[in-house]
Amino acid sequence: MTQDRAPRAKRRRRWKKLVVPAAEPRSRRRFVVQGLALVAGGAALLVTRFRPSAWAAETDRVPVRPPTASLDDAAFRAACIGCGMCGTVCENGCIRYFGADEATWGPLTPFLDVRRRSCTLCMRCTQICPTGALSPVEDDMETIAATVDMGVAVVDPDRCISYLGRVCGYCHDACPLPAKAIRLVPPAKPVVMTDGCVGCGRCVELCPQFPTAIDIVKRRLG
Amino acid sequence: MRAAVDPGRGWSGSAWVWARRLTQSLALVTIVLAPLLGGWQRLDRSEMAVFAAGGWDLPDTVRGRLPLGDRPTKAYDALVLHGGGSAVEYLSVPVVDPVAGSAALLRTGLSWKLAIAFGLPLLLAALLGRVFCGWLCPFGVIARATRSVLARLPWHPPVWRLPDRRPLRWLILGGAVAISVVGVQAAVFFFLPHLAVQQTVYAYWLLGGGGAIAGVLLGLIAAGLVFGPTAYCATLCPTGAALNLAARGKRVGVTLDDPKACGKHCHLCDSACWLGLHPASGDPGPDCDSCARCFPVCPRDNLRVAVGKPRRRHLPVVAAGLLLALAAPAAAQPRAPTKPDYLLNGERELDGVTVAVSMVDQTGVKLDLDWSEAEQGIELSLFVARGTRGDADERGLLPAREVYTGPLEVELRPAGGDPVALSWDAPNSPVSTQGTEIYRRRIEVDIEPGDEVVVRAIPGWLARDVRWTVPAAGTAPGAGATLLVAAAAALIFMGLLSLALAVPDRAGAAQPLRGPDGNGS
Repeated sequence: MTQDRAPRAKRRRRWKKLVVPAAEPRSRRRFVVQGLALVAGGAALLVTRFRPSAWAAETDRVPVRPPTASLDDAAFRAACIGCGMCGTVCENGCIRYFGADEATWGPLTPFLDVRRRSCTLCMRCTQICPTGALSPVEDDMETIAATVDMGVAVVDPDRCISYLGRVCGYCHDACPLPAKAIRLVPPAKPVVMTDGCVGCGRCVELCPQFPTAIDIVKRRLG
Repeated sequence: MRAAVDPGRGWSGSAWVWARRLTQSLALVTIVLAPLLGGWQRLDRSEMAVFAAGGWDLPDTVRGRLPLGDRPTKAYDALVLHGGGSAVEYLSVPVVDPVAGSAALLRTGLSWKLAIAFGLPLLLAALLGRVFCGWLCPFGVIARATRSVLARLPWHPPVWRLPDRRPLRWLILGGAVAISVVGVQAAVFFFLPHLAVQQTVYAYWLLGGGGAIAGVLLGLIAAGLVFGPTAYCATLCPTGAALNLAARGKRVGVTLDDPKACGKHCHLCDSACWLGLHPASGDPGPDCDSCARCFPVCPRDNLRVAVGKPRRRHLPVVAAGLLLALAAPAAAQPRAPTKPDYLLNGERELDGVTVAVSMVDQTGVKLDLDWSEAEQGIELSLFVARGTRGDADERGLLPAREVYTGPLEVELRPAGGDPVALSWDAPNSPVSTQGTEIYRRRIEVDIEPGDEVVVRAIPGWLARDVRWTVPAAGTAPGAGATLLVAAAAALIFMGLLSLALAVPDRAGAAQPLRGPDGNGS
């Protein structure tokens, strides 16, 4: 204690010199007026110049949510507190978030844009969720195939290159559950097996057609 | 409180200070490191969001030296400290900020995990007071570092004496909770500095955004330069206010060892207090965070933590590391993008007609590594069809739908320029197939987020125009918008601090730090 007394004393002096009382009656009115003016100025700047970058909805569809989220999107929104843990642990960076000003789909709630980046089914998000909006699933492909249902892939034969007469099959090659979720009929036409598809979106991400010929659609309840 | 007598002196003042520095460093390192490791483990799959959103790759010098393979994943698996947007999980124990999560709690069913997450910080406050502010809060570290840097400048900005009464924070706490109930959670992040730090780091490394919240943080620091870096914590912070409420009945805190041993009009501990409290009175009150900052300044070592109250300090080196981590992505040299960049991926249905559009920026992409020439321009593809998809036949194949193949008109409307009209007589892609059903064209127009793509009405098919707005790549507005938010936030925070400082003290309450004559020596 004793050996650092000298620098402490110096610090003490420094602070004593610095302190200025603000709330003298004389200056109080000035502080109130300048405070109101600054707040008003800042708010005006924010309102007139700043446009929040609202997430622009690209489709009217219900967004794909992380694995084990309730198929009833309202129920998921009610259970999610928007803490952001799922996106932190996501090994693939596929979990994105709506903005804090999102009105329709819940502010700061997670979603997946599978066309840009799809889910690798690592199940970390389900294990860390503190609220039960996602329920824990073991990282094991059989368990995942049995429990996860983020949606189901739907092929549009009018856009699919294989249906149009060439041979593609990218979606089948990308699928983590081949022969369970998707199969090819000759020459290479993809057929999704609705019962086996977990909706991870690998096929959507890798579809070489633009606009994509395969997409994830959430199942309806019941 | 003065009755608190403890046999033995326990830790010395500086031991408390160093213990506090340790937890502060741990908390700050977690905030910075946890998302960084999250980004590292993604490197072999993709780039870190902050680079990917800008269309860059990680610089080769960095990438070449990074251990990749399964090592990042192993390191991440071994990590037991996770930090999210408003929550953390340390050693599998979840914790949520009580203010930011309060509105969500109203609509969420209670589970044991959630109860722990919300209960822990409040329990901690109920027992130990605002220890979060002094010992863990990442903004606290930045604020204290700012204060110490200011104190070392040759020219000193004035340090305002904080009033004892701080009514404005109750207004902000109530307002933040009320606003987030309405659903505008942005306002909550605006007023919670520790979440601003966490969100900034987190969004920059993992989400490819964070510009707006970084602006708020910059604004708050700027306001702190004028009115005192820690004035916000003391007079306005809603989390501090909530913890103050929880700490009204706390049992552990800072107290005087022997009140009679105090020098008259000494008040050195009062002037050392970063929250503007009065440990010299023997009871600094529920706002005291036991940071122990008043311990080493006392000439008689008369302060200690007793079962019945404490406090904290600055870590310029760690703060500099944080700033460096934030500045590193900005300093990295951006290179020409080499991956196709998905600008728009839209599908809408109107009266049973499906209109799908895709816009992909191919600039800089090489279809073959040996080719010397790279692709240029943006590829715009459209598809219009109607009718239900139908049921699969016995082979699983789906029937074709009725696809529109007539003339199509599209208009691109840049946010600040003249619209560009495009038209097709018939679909032209894919080539060399029996069916040609997609309208595709390479366009040489600069497309920015916020621009509109409008598909004109088609007689007999589409009754009205179908439009899309090009979404932002990340959540980040540009650097200009960040500065704008920073300026606005600085003005608002300065105004609020000015109002908070104008609140008069109770008559005859604590003595001012300087004598009434104005010369403090």
